[in-house]
Amino acid sequence: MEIKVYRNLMEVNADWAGRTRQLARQHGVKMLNLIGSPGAGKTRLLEAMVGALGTRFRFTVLEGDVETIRDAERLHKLGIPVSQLITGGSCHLSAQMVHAAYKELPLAELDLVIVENVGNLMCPAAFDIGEDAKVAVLSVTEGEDKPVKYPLLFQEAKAVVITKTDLLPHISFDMPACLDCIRQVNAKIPVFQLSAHSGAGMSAWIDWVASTAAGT
Amino acid sequence: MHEFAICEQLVATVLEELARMTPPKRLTCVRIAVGGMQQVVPESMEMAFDVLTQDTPAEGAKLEMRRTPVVLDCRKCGWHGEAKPNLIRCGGCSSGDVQVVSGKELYLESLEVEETPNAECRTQN
Ligand SMILES: Nc1nc2c(ncn2[C@@H]2O[C@H](COP(=O)(O)OP(=O)(O)OP(=O)(O)O)[C@@H](O)[C@H]2O)c(=O)[nH]1
Ligand SMILES: [Mg+2]
Ligand SMILES: [Zn+2]
Repeated sequence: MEIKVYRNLMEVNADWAGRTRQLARQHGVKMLNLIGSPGAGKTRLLEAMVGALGTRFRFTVLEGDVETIRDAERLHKLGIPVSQLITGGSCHLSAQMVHAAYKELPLAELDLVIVENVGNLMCPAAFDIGEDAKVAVLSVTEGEDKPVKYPLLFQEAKAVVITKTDLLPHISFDMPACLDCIRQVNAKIPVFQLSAHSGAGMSAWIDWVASTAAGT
Repeated sequence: MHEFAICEQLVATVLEELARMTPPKRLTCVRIAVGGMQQVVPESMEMAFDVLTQDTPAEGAKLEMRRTPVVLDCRKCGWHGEAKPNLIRCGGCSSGDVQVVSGKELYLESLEVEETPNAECRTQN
């Protein structure tokens, strides 16, 4: 005998994300959720953002990693307030995990929380963690077709950052083809091409972050 | 491998539904619907399901996954329909100004159950 049930399997996760959003609303804090492959340059991007963002906003970083606290240490060295979330093997941050760390933050003193999700293009895209915007971070060393291979992330994201553009002269990366792939799954998404090393393209990206943090 | 996390939620939900059934039933099959945009590997789901149901009332049940289509609404021309694979564009006017109305969902649809042999005894007592 078949018994019909209709139960959303993301309900519990959505509940926790909702709690985080409620806290965020109370304190007027925004959240970005950076998602990209291992080594795409998420931590390096945060390092490069410190100088530019530091004076405009009060922000903190939640570092999601499977094992080590190395990324958190890198940011701590630069004076960025950072909390480490160790997933202990899980390939993504769950809303519950993020909430546990989020509620301990000095929210009254913050404008923006930036989460570096676990290095992975697929799994984190499926989990709402209470963010205002997911950001897809893609490096030019990864191949142009990633957006159509992982369409959920590029669909869900509110912005794409293409990193390591300083390497373009040395590799064969077809930027127009990559932009095309992005547009196939998300026609209107803003794309920021930048290099955390040279600083090229950083200011447009910082402006976008600033307007997101300001809620505009 | 977020299949494991999804399956944890699935198994918890299934056990909750089973616990509600009076008289108790034996579970033979679990059917889930997975939106076409969700990248879920059926083999990984099945493996996670088998591991997570061990020593529970759901042990031994089969897991069936149904893929549901990616459906779009065009904001430009009003077209409504199924998206082509990996192309989130209007099927009428090719505009990218579309809303994904379904295709990201993950839900438990139905449970296939049998009467347990001793169910009648239990209701009598
Ligand atoms: N040339 C160049 N290298 C970069 C750039 N950004 C990052 N890298 C290098 O890429 C490597 C990985 O960068 P990370 O910032 O650690 O990458 P990640 O995305 O945080 O990696 P996980 O946290 O492991 O997922 C490092 O060796 C960085 O120095 C860039 O703009 N240009
Ligand atoms: Mg990192
Ligand atoms: Zn249309």
